[in-house]
Amino acid sequence: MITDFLNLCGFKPEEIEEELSRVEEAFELLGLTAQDVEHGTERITRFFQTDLKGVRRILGIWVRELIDLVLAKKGRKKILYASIPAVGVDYLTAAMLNSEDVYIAFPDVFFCGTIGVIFDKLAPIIDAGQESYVAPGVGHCSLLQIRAGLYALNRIPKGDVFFSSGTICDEVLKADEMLEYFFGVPVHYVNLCHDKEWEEGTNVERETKFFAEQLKRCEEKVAQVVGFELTDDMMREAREFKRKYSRPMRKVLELVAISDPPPLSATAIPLIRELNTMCISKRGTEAAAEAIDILYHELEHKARQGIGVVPKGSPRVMHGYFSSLSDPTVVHLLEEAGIAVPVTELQLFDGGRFTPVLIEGIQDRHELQASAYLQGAVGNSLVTEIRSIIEACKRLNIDGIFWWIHHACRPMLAQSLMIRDSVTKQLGIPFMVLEGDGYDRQFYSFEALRTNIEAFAEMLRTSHRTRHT
Amino acid sequence: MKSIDRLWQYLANRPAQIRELKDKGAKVVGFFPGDYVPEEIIHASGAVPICLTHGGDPMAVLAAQSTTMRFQCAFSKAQLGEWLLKQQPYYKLVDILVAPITCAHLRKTADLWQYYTGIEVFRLGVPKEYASELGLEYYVGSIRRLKQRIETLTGNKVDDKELSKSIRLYNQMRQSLKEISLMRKSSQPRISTADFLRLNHASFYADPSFMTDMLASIREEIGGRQEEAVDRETPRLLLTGPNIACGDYKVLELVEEAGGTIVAEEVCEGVRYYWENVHSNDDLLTALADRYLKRRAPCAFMNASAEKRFDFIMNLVREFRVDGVLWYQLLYCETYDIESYYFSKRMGELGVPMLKLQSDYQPTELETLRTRIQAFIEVIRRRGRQS
Repeated sequence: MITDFLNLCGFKPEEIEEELSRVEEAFELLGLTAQDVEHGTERITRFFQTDLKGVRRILGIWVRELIDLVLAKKGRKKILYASIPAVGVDYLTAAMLNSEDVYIAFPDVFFCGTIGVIFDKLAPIIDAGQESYVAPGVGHCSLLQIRAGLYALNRIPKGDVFFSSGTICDEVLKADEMLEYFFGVPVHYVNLCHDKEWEEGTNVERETKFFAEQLKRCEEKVAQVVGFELTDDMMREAREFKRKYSRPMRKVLELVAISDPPPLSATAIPLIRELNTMCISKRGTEAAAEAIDILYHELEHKARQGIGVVPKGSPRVMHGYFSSLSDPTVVHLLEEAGIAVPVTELQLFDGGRFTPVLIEGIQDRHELQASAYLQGAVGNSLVTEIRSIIEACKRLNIDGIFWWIHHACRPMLAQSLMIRDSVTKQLGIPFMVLEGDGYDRQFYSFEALRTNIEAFAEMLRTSHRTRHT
Repeated sequence: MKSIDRLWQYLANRPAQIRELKDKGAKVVGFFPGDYVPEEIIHASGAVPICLTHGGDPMAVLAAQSTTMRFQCAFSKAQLGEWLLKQQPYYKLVDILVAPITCAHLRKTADLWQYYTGIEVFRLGVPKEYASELGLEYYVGSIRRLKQRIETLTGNKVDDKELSKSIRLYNQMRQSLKEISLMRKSSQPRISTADFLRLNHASFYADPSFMTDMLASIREEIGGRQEEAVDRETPRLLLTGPNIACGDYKVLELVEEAGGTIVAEEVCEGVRYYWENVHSNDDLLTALADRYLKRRAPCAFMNASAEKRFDFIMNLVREFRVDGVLWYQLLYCETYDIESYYFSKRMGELGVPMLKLQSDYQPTELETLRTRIQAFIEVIRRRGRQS
């Protein structure tokens, strides 16, 4: 059973032979039974295009990262954790590349992409989190509940440091403070002060300098924990290493975004994007680079033939502000209803991270990194966000926006409605806002969601017909 | 008391007075509470500072509902709702809103103001690092930007002489509030916390010179009062949480009704506001930053704040001989909610009873609050008898 599962996840026969005992050990620790594996196999087949070798390989990389995480206690000297919104990825990558003793993971995200997406078994972890400092009923972020639950259930090793990123919200910093108090996890905070005026744009000196200092400290902390300095050469090597994946990934996402119909189901997009956002193992990154290259060629072929997950000419929506990282059913319902999802809002902000506008006068390495990060940060400027959405809608012939709000994300609540108001006024396209959850599917009802999506699909078809006749 | 009556009369006329000042060219600077906006800078420029702190009214929350989603706290919704409803005259007098970037809720309310009211918003950066040099430096930069913006708005330069005068005035006002507050250490407090909080709220709207004079008179009058005969068994409580809005007095009233008494309030419109004064310093902006960011009790949205505020509260518990702690927060206030778990664990270890209450400013919650408060007070009474 596990062998079939691993085969479906793109493991090569020799990899299965090599990994099987570790996988079995990890699954046992995770409480994954044969029934779960069967259920996971069925979900993969239902939600993902398993005819695409690239997609299967991507799923396999997630599974391998999970196994490494669960067994990380064995033989590793230093364990460094971080989560999304990710910061300091270059430093973490540099540290990981330069020492066999360093292990890096984004534990809660790894669990979302595997235990959530594949096995649909996050509920007990979330429940355990809710019994601690992130109680139910108050609108706490479910990613933080998962993080707390992982520690409460002793699913992951404690780690030598957890990098807590407050670049979007305050809650993460507060929740991670409790990791220190209740689980003894050493936490390093990375802050940002969201005091930018709307008209100030994306490059504000005080913000860049403040964040540069935060990044510098983050780098120093990584060096302190791993016990060696991160040199400029190491940083260059880390960036080049990450580009092995990020360059072809951008090509894939662009191909999907411009094609009609999109040749790739949007269920795979979060899994593809997050592999780039985070820092994963050296082996994982190399495998991801290979997988994404395979996927590009497979998709190119499909695109040329006009084959996609929905018929050509189907209404096209932008999925904001991000699609669920643990539940593919939401996007799957959209596609089942005949709606193409060629792009998610988060992708619009990848640009800054890859090709930042260089600001004259900035020489300092950390300031350059801070500037690049802030140009690619979602939620950083409402005006920029609205402009980017409108430009992308025009460029990609978007017929409507499906705005799935992670209900606990305080910075995005009011922002969502202002975006809707502004985009609707300027483009006149249907814009549906739904209160959802990015990591916990228990928050929403599947049937209510289906009804909403079917109604939205009808609106889109009417609007699409009107616009194209 | 004569002085308190005079103060309420004055407040009834205060909006009209401000309108007159506006007609004569004065600018009105509204700001959100939390005690991160140094009013001294606004006052020194000749502008009228008003801390917008109304809350508790479900209609104001409802009015703002269509602009945001349910998981934003009721207080932050009310800040836009009050403007939309046009009930509270102060909200309509504002020429510019200074929004300290504290929690995500008020940060987004600042955006909503800018989007829906057309009133200019100035975002005052408050770094989450209250204890570091980097945080302090950033905050000094923030208040320097505020000073420049206010100077442009009013056309008046805020020089050191004027700023020093304003600092002295506000120090005096906070000192008077603190002295009145400390009177509640007595076993028979001469002022109730509901009345004391009303004084705090009044200080956010009144002219500080007038308020300082009033507080001096009130302090004298309270000092001359007979101590109220209080039942020895009356549980003495400390109220803590994010804030108590002007108008949101239900918990205070329910405690009195249930036979308890609140003797201290560790909230932004209470102890956090008047406990610390600005120390003299060569650089006045640094001195302000030292008071407004570094030395004050940190709010829950600050990094690593729980332990420091817990110690601060435990000192109050000892000083005011508190029998139990009431944690009062707004529903969906995520950072305080997380800290409440920490506080209840730590308080439990020290044997201090704590009751956590939440509000969304809805009338339907009243009976639940009443029952829970009554039960809590009964439990404390029994503990007192047993010990």
